[in-house]
Amino acid sequence: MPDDMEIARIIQKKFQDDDPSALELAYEHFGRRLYGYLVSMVKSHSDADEVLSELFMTVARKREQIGRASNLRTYLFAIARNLAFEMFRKRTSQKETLSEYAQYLEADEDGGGKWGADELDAVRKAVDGLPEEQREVVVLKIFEGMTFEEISQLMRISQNTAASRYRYAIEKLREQLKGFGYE
Amino acid sequence: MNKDIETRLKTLRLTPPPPELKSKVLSNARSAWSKENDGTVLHMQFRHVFALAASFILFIGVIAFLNRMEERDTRQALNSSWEKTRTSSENAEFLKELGFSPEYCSLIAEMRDSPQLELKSFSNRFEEELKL
Repeated sequence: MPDDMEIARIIQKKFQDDDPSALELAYEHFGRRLYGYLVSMVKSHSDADEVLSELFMTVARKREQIGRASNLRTYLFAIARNLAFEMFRKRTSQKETLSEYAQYLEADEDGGGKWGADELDAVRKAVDGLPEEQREVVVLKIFEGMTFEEISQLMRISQNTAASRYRYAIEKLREQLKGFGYE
Repeated sequence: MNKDIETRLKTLRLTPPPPELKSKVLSNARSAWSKENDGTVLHMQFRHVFALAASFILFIGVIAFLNRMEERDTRQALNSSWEKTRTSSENAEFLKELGFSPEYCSLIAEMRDSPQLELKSFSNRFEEELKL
């Protein structure tokens, strides 16, 4: 089975060859991860739907650059991040508040984790209560499986900053979830 | 039993997109793709037209510049030739006044481009020599 890098190369080659099937392949491979990241950023399913749609339209328009990107995943997440910030700005300028609050974490049945409702709720609250920059690093590191190098490129911070934000976040979570037996 | 928070968090996942979102996202993306294609073709065509127009304007510009340069050279040459003719005829007139034969005057005037003053000094010297 081809690894992440290999699939990214295949997708990029299709973009370079002006092959529209690259879009479907990119959605299949990155759509789920991008959507999860977007919901964690914008905290609304409808906004995440809109941003994901806008993201793939941007991808279609910028396919030449995407074909040449050195790291496709980071590139796509960078577009997602920019569009999410644009969504924040739009909300602020229109003085909109969220009518819904989307939960973005759920138990992974295939991942083998068994979660009690109370514990899951407490973890969700704890993750959500982290400062935004720490929460983003946790989401990217734990749920997207990014390296600190990729996170630093995406967030335009140093690797050390990314690592220390992650460390502080984990310490905070540990502290808040002590009651559930976390060390 | 103590649990490791990082390991435990890894058994959670981010919310997946609703299945119906895929067709909406891909349909929008495909239309952006084809619009971009049309735009690219239009842009390519426009680029050719623009390149052609720019080359034509450049060509006209170069021709106009060369034309102006040549016109300036011609005018300068005409002016200088007219000046030369005028000086020659003035010199010839001057020599005639001194009493030289018309053929000699024209010959000297054509041979010498020197100003009248030089001719004057030459003629003065000539007159002095005659007196002597």
